[in-house]
Amino acid sequence: MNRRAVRWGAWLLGVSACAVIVARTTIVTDITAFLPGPSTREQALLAEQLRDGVAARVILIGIEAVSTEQASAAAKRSQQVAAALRNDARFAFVANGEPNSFIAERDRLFDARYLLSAQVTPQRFSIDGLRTAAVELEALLRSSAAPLIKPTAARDPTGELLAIAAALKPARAPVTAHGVWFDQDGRTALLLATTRAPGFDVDAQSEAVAAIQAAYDTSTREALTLHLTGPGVFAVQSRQAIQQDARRLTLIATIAVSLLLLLVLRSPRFLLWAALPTATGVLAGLAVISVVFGSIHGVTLGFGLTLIGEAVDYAVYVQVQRQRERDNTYLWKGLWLAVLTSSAGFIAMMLSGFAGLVQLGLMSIVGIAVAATIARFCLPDVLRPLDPSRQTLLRPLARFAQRAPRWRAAVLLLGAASVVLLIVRGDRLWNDELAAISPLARGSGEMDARLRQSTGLGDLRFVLAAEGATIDQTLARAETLHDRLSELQARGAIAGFDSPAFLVPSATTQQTRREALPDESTLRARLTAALANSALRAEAFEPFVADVQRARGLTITPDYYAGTALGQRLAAQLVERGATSGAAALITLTGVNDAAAVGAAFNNASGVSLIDLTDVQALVADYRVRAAWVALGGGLLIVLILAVQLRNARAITRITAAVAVSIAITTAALVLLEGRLTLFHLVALLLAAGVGSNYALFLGMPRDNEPTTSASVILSVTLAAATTLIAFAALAMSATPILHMIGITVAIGAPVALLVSMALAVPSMNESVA
Amino acid sequence: MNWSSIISRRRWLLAALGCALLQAQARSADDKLTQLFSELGARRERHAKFVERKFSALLKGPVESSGTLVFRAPDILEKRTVEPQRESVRIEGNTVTYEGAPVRGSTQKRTFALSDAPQLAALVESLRATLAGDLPALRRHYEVSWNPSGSASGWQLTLVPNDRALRDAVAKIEMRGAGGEVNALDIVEASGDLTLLSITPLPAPAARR
Repeated sequence: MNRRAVRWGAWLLGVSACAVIVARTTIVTDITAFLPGPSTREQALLAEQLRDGVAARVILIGIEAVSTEQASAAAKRSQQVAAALRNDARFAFVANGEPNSFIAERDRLFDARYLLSAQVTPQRFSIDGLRTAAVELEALLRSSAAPLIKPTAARDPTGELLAIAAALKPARAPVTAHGVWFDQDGRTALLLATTRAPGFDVDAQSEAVAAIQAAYDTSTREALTLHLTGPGVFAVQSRQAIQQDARRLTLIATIAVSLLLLLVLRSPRFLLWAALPTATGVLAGLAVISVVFGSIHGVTLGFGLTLIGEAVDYAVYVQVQRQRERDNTYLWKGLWLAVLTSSAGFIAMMLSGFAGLVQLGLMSIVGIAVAATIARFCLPDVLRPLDPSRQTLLRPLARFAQRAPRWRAAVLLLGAASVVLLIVRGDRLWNDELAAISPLARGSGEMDARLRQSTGLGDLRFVLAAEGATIDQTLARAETLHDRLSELQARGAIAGFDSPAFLVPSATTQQTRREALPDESTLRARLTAALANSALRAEAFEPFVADVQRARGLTITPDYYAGTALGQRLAAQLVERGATSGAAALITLTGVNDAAAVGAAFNNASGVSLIDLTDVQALVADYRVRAAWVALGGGLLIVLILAVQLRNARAITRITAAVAVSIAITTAALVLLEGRLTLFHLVALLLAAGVGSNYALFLGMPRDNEPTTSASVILSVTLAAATTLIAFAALAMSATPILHMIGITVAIGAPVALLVSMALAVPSMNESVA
Repeated sequence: MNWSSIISRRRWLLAALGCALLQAQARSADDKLTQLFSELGARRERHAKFVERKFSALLKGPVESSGTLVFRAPDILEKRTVEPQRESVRIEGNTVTYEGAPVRGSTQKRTFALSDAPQLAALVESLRATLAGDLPALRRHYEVSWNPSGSASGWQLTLVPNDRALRDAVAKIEMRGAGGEVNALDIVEASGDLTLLSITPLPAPAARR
């Protein structure tokens, strides 16, 4: 009794500690943790862009009125929403086309104009150059365009602001009506918000979406509709769908599994206590993750709950196989071996190099080890062994199992056929596009396409990366690309491009432009000479002389734009990775009509790479190879554990053959049913391998005191497989791809592993261990 | 009741009377505006010659240009400059089509939305809304006041921009006319620069149906 107190005291202490840790843990939701680590420069850049790039942080907002007559209400709402979001620290940048919203940006550009404008050359500031500019300015001042020119004419007679504006103007801008941006149809007001948080911090995105909805709701109700799209919005929506689905299906699965266990074991008491090892295991797993990694990934949490499917098996094994007044050595040995072989699969998962999978693997190992420990030490205290009468009812099952070894040849043939199928499929086995986990997966629906089209964001897809050791080197390299890009633009291959070197020219370029600017007295003298026969008064242009002098002492760095929308834009376009890894300048290309021509133009440029943000394939090019190594490593580890523990060549052969054949058949069945496989299928296959190895182990473990596997073992394994099948079949019904993939993989894997293990793993009567 | 209270009551009465008079005057100014704008709005199509003189601190002296103006109700305004350089601005609804003034040595034609240049929109509306007889549209952009210094036969309006940003550029616009005709429009800029537009109505071209 004393020992019993120690056991339960330890349990209580452990559970309390875990609960405290888990309650304090933050849950992170950055899905890129589940993307493979990049192995080339382009892949690293792409991964960076997917995580932090502007494309992943944009939320497009449409406020749609019922008719064009209501458009002014939509415009007013657009102004209200924009004003609220501009005061919200979660948003880095909000644009809705309001004319006065970019005053700070305009002022910075204006003040830096002599370093930014490509027109600034020594010729431009000679007497002849100034005379040419004066003729143009005079014509403009006489024309009807005068009101547009006059405010800046005295400071900028050479028209540098216009030159800069032409370079920075987006190739396609929304139309303006009622003072804000509108869609082509004139009914939908458009806003563009960039979040500070990366697109795949789903919690932050969820907050941002809620903030937009709140800003929209504060005003009075009109017949308006709010539309939100963007990668972050989709991430939020898909997470909501996953959570709803998971909750609903978990409930269905729990009820179905409980009914089955009640029907077979007729023990409500067992049902209650079976939850103990499961819940404790999950809690301990989460606590360890929290301590080791500092936070728990949302996906780990979701996957971790599928652990329940495996952990509940341990309670079943203990309850069904345990016999009163008899030696339960084999049960306990089997239990530990089951934990070890399952762990082998999860260790393989940890070696994969995917940050998210490392968490998941560790959590699973801890979870099942704790669940088995509780099942071993605590359950016997509270549960009486199964009434032998229940076992006699299941004789047909035992008979079926004893007949199973006759199908060995057929099962082995099926396994071989599966391997052949997988080899034939070869390259087409894996879905490299990984659309399910691609952060830039395009949202479905007309509204998304329409908003993207109207805002000119439709094709924010190609990025040209110029790399160098320092920011300045990358800017200099970016500048060398401008001519070629302008040429592509002229040919219509691209609609436009946006280079960070427009805002921050390289140090050399800035120096050249500064040197083109004459000193004060020279400029004044030249101006007087140039305007001698002009209608313009030279004295009126003293502000110009002063500005040119100021520019001679100016240097533009990215910090110059700090605190403005331009600063945000630069931060997204200039990537600095520290002293050793260098830097990159990203030129975004818009309206790419001829990707081949663009690719060809930059094929041979050194230090320049063209990145297609939708091409996640590049990121997962070596995904297959890693997957294969992971699977092989897991298999070898299982063989090793069995070899050390069982020291029985025949048994090891039987058990490993059963595991290998069932995985082959399951994978082949998956390929036939699902087409191509994704990362989530792979993870679920490891889970299926873990469960399946347990079946093979319990059915195939040689026992000195019995010629062959007992009916109680067969019953426990069958029951475990049945509960797993039910639980994961429920998940397979989900419309959410991730849940469906995990569900269908394990729902196929469990019964296949059971049948294959009965055929291959169970020792036949005549080869019973002597 | 003593005398002082009677006097103070009288004063109060006088004040009330004064207010009423002022209000009546204001109402009469409002009535005059309404009447003027209905008179202006009666003309569906107008043709005119214009001479525009610009005085600017940037220029050594005034510069002059001339051409024709066309207005068609409700919202077409066209300004064709003939001298000294050809240029045309046509505004229809929210669309501005600009053709002419050479920029960087080449003549150009461009189209843009009036709403993209809000200050220009206000300037355009000062003439267009007046010619259309659309007082509410004019008041969206300006504080409109009836200027009593107008001659007996004519009228004079003073427009002060509502928008602060525009007021920083344009101090006020003076408009003069007689009956349903607008004869002059003077833009007084905050910097002191002036643009004086004088308008001489022409009969509508007879050949046109």
